[in-house]
Amino acid sequence: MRPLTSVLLSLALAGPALAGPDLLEDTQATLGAVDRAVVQAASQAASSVVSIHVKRNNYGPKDLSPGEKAMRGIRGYVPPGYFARPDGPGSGVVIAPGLVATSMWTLAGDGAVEVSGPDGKRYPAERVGRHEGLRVILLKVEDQGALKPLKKATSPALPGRTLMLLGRSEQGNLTVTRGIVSGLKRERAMAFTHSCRTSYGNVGGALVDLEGNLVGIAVRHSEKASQGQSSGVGFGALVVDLLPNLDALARGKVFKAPPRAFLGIGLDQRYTGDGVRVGRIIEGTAAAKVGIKEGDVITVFNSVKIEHFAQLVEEILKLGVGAEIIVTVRRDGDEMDFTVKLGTRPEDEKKK
Amino acid sequence: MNLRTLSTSLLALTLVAAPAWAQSSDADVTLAKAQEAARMKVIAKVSQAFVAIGGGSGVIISADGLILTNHHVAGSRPVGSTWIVTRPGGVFVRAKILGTDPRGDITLLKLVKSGPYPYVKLGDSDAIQVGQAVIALGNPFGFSKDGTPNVTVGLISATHRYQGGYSDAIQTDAAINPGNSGGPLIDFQGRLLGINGRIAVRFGTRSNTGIGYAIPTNQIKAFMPQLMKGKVGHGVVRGLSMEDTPAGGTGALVRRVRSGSGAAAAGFRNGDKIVRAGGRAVHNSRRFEGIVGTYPAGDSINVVVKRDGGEVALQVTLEARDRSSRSSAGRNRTGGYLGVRLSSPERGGAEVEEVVAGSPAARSGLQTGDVIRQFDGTNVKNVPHLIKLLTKSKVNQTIKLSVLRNGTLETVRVRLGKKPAR
Repeated sequence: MRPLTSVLLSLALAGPALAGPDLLEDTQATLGAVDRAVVQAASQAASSVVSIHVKRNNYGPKDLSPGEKAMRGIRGYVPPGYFARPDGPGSGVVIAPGLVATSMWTLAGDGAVEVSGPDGKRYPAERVGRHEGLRVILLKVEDQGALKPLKKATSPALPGRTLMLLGRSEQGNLTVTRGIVSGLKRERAMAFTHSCRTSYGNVGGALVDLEGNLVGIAVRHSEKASQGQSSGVGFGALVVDLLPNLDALARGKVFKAPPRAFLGIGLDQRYTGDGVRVGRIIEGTAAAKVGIKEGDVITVFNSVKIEHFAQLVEEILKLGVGAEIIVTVRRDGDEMDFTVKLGTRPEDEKKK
Repeated sequence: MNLRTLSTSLLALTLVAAPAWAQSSDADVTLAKAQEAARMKVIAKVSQAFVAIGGGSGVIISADGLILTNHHVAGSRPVGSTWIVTRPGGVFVRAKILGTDPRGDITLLKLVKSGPYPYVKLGDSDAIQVGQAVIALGNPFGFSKDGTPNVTVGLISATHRYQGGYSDAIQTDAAINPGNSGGPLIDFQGRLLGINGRIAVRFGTRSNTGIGYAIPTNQIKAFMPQLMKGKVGHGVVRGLSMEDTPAGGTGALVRRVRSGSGAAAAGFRNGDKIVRAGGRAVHNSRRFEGIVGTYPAGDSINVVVKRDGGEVALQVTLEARDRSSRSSAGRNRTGGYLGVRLSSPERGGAEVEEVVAGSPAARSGLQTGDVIRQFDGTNVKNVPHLIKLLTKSKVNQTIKLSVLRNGTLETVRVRLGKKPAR
């Protein structure tokens, strides 16, 4: 054990006002205290965490399609069955009386839905509104007030804040993984990242703070993300972003995601090396404006190493219109950086 | 054992029963929140020193804007050229490459515009302890769109791990993923312990498995004078053949000293048992190689050997390591593709320096540090010999490799693939 235990004990007596950056994790004093606090917070929130049973009708991709494989190339290899989804339930959280919030990903498909709480009793539920930016969907549950809503957190979700991800397993037991708020304003400012390990079962569940108050809903933003299930980087939708729209969502309103950005390049399909070789430049787009040319090989996009076209598309779609990023290309053996302000898709422009 | 993780996994079981020990007091919550506040404060401070660069991450280590990142992130451009890096808040700034270390996987850059910049101080990576809490900053999967880092916390899982070029790596369970490369591993006093650069993955699934590796700060410090000047050379002791023993031994036994070699000039003798090098304990030959790997060529280190019942101190000047090993991932023009970078160890065979993610080697479970001794029953002399054998092989052919791993011989079956085009 580290020799800071005595310092910590005196800090504890003096109160948190004295706690400076010297207050380390994992000393004997904090271990016991933090674990007890975590257990208490989880128990307090537990009754608002539900299992969501979906008739999936065999929904969901198991593997990449031949087209997707071709776009990814050898570097985009994923093992067979990598995206196969188990039939088991997902998780959700009671956000208001008779209303359960969960990840859209958890409810993928259109089969019937049932919700069950700690006692295992199943209630029929009906999809109402959804927020396609936050990736959260609301269920109306006929529970006659049996399921209690979770208290909402009031302190801001800044990086480093302790989080517990609460889900409910197939057998009805609570599941807990612990982490922190990792980053803010991700996915066109619609999500935050957290480090609680996620799985098929706990996505849609409640991200709660040390007092057991709801900070966010665990969500997924991609069906076929190559990072898999439990990389230690998970997404959450902030409850403060959800609350102002809760009434509208309960009435069935669908909030569309903000528009996606467009770079303006076509793929050169003959190229099989690292990166993406530009086959054509679409006139008037962001790529054309900065002087990216046919034959350039895009190697880095916004600090992401690009290995195949599907990945580049994925990266562009994460960004909003007007986002300014750096694109690195290889041209005649040299690497060059372009500062690109992403625009809209020309056909989206015409629709306006 | 990692108590925190254990207790977290126990929660699911205990919550239903709510045993007495789970009763929390206000004091517990107060302390937990004080710890949380301290953590948030450190994170807010060190995050200011983060940069996103070239598909990966980096960190500012001085007020005048020196930046550390991985060679595999920024070293593809020549020394003297520049990168545009993104600072928190989405600010683009230009940074010039001062020097790079391909084997140690470190590149040093300097922000072109004069500072002062927020920075992270270098810590003492030899003073860290297993179980100590750490913070990792990075841009995993490119989710950070505005130059603010993704922050994960975890523990030091192990120290002094030998991983080829990462010869003295820090192992952590803080979630590190593709894109974290070049990012800092920091203690709770906000000091830099290492630069994150590798993760252990299996079967081509490129995401965290709970094992991440960082290059220790003390190694970086040793190379700093060379990095400031441009290219670096790693040190090696030539002509020293040691016995392969598993971890946990009491020293590295010298089997043979080649006459006229650097090892002979330094005073090594057959039968010596190396017990210390550079002030650190040596438990086997791997650890000795690992320690030597943290010094540049030309440095002189103190080595203590046991000889005739006593201890003898030797002063050893390190020679330059060959650079012949750098890229053998697809050097055979014909034949099957394996997907490894190799070097030739003193005792023969071909040592795996790096496994290319998603390659046949990665899928077969071949690991960094494995020494390939046999290729389908043929003894492998060195890297050129193995390349020659691969040239004669066929795509989709399954071959049997005999590899030396942690002192024991193991068999690995690999189905060779098609070489990816470049």
